[in-house]
Amino acid sequence: MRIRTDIILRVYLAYAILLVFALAIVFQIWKIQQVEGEKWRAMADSLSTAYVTVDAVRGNIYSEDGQLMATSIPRYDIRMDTRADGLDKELFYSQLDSLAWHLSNLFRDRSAARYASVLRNARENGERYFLVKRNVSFNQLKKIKEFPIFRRGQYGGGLIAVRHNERIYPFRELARRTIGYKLPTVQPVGLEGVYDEYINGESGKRLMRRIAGGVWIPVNEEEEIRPVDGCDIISTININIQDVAHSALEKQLIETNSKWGTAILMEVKTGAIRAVVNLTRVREGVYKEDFNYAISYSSEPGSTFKLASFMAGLEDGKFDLETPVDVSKGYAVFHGLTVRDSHTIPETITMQRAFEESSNVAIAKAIHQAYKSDPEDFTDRLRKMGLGQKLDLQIPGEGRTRIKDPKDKDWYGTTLPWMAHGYEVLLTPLQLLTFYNAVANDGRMMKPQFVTQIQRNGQPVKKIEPEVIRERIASRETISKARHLLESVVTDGTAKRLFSTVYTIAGKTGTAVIADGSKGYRQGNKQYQASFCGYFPAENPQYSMLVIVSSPTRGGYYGGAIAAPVFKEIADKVYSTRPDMQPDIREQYPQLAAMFPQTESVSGNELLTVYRKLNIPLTVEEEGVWMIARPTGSALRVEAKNFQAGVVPDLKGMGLADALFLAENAGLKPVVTGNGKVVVQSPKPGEKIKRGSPIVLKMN
Amino acid sequence: MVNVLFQKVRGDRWIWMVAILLSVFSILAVYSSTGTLAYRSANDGFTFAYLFRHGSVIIAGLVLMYIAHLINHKYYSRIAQILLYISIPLLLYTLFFGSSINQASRWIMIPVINETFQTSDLAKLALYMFLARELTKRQEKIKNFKEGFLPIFVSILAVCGLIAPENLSTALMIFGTSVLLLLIGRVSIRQIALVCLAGGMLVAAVVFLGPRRGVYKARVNSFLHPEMAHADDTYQIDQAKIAIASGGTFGKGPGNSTQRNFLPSPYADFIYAVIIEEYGLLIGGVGVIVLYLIFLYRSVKIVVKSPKAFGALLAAALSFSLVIQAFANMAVATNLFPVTGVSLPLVSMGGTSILFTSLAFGIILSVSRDVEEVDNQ
Repeated sequence: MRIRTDIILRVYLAYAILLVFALAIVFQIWKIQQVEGEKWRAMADSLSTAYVTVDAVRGNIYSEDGQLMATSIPRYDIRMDTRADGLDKELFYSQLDSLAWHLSNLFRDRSAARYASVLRNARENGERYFLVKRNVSFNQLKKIKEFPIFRRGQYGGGLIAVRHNERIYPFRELARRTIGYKLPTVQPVGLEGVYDEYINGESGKRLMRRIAGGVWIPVNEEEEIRPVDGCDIISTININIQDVAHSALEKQLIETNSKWGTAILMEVKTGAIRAVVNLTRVREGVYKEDFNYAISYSSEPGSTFKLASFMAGLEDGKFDLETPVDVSKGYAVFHGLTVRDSHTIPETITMQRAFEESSNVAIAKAIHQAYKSDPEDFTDRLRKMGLGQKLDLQIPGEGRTRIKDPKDKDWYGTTLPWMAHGYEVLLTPLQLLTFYNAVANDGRMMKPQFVTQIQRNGQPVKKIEPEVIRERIASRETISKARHLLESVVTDGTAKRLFSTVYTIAGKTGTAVIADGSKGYRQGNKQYQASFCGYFPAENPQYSMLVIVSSPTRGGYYGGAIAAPVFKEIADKVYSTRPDMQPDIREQYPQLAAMFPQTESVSGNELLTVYRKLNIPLTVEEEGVWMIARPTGSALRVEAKNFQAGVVPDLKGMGLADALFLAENAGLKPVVTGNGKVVVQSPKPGEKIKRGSPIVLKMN
Repeated sequence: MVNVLFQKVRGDRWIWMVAILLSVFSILAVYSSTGTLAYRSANDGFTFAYLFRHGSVIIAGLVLMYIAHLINHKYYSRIAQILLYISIPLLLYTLFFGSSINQASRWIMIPVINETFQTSDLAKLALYMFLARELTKRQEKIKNFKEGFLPIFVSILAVCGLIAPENLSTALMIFGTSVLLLLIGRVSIRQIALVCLAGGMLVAAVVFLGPRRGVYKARVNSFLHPEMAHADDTYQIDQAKIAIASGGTFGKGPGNSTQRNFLPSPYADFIYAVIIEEYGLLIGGVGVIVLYLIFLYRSVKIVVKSPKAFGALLAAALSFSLVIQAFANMAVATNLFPVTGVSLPLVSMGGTSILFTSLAFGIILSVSRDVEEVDNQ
């Protein structure tokens, strides 16, 4: 029993010891909480984690012709946690040189020794978020992940890649405002803004922890919630047409030193916007896409609105194209206010002539006469033609439009005649163009369209079909009369300079006086807004277009002089790139069809390829590196052309590329003037070559 | 149902209660410390995968505890011997071929079920049981060196010596516990001094010549001179202290730990810090300690009441070893000891550790069952 008591005593003793131990632990906890508590809690505040949003890669915006207008590329900042848990001293130092060599070899910005010493310092300083390299591409990152040390990941090798996306607009200013942008704290703009929810994708989350010095580093190697990349947007913009429109408008704005300008090109059948240029003067000679005038700028359109007035009168049978109107005085007075013509026509003319000459007096008198007793009829008619209502565009920021109502407080006796020639109404450029487009589209009003498809990985997510706003804005007869009027403006009226024998343009000039800020119309310098709105080709309209040049200070201010040339330049380019719009050349110039395209010496392969592609009958006498083709009877005869070494080659008829190649190979130094094909060469063919001596090539 | 269960279950009710409460703490704390938003969103059910796995281990442990407590405790004497003979070669195998976690080779893979297990968990249980057996058998001639003491001496040094090179802290703990058991078992002070001397030499050899000598130096240095240490070397303990300090008296509430994102293995070695952070000083800190103390107190009761010496020494050996391990873990988490890798029995996540702890609980309960039966007679 003595043994038993002894053991029990010892057990109780041991229990007592552990009890003391337990008290020590509780005391220690209390000490940490109460005595040192402040210090640790402060540390806790500085060491915290947070879920940080990781942006998804934004989708691309493509032009109608498949060009990238906006795209995002991921960029990475490469950082190193030189004190990563799994990166022990031995490993670090044994593979440091190798890592440094690879880094140096990849970036070629620092020597391997430099990299090694920088990283060694970083480790010695205990850097946990050391910046190795900024803005590394995805491909580079892939390589970096294979490097020694780094291939062990974040915990094993300290590699931290922080991604950020860079938005790139390959075409820079082109359609900049329409493509838009999205910046933090700024209201999103344009397609980037509207389709943000599609383009943006779903952001991911990454758990980050704050380390000493207030930097955040990722806790885990991968994002906890992976971002889902955004969708792609296929817009209606055609980048080539956009380019042409941009440079044509910009050139004119610079030439006339205008305040701003806009040009919109719309596909008649679908309402697809193929180009939309908005340029604002930054300083003389420099213009930027800064404000979307095309959709946002609401103003009194002036003469271009006369088309609507004429169509209203025609539709309601108030007058016809042949109806005479007296404009000989050059002005007309309504309730004490005078409407004037810009140039007086001292006779009585037809309404058609009045439209061609853009007579304010004629349309003011005609509309006043016709509707003064029932002005609602006029405003109702305008509304029935689709005017005065918003287009509900795919892009936000559409400016307001207004057709006054006779019941309105600001309806005066003068309102009707002024509305007739385009004042006291408000329209945005795009709203006006939509109206003209409806006329070109045989009365069917299409909604302007900016986006046709939303895609993900090349698969359509959403297709947006062309939308009809109004099946018919006026009777067939009125539409055809309206189109006749617009054509006659170009053939006989204020836009004669647009007359072209190749294809026909129809449209209306506009020269509006605009209010100069708060000073109103009268005080201060008169400001003008020159415009031209129309479509082409007149007989089978494919595109409608509006060009506005605002506040020109040089070279006049009439729409016919300032805006019409821009219209023509853009239309010409579009027309020339659309062979399907052009008549068959064989019908137009039958004599050309019988001609063989002959060539002097050209590179043989290319010559055969071209002729065969064009199905031109030819007989090949002899193939060679250089060949010559001459018409003989009903086919071309192709022969090889050989050049004798040591003498000057015959370069006549050659293009510059071939000529330079031969001349330089022969040891001559070509001096070229002009462009086209070689017409004159000096020294002449067959002369002996002096190495290094010049050869003059005149091209034409 | 509960009644039926209670009728089937024998053994000390208090100890069962402690086991179940610790299991509940374990499930809550492990779920919290593995369950960050990250896992939840990255892969639905991933946390539940951890929870499910951990929960199954806990339940398996309770089942094991139940089975173990049904076996008459006298059989454990023989089982102890067999287990020890199995452990020694396993320890040898681990030392040379084990898989390494945190640069220490402590684990071996069990081939079929693909589970890692820490051989020292088995070895220490075997050793304590074996010590209870030997101390009982040789109680009459315990003061005799050759017959009474030599087998004990050899077994302690063999187990500790094989564990020490890769896991010094566990070896030291086993060694300390063994010395305590020798004291309880009435081994003479002279002989214990001899064990300590041998043990001290072993430790010295491992510390200055062992494969992990660099780690010890850094850890002890940063423990003794935290102000001199590099921030990274005190990182773990700093994070643990932040957890404890920010827990306050009543804690942040279940699942609200933020330090779990900073603490390395918050579900194992530093789980006590997370428990304090979430449940506070009173429920988390003192509560868990009280549970272990209740367990130890009930075990002491069993020791006192046990009619047979083996039962008494077995209960004493296992209960003291578990509580010592628990307090060692807490001492590390609260920075009373330098950082070591000792788990909190029945609470830390880790399959085999929980199973062996459950087995130990079951054995103690088996002893208490026999005590009850003697009482009832």
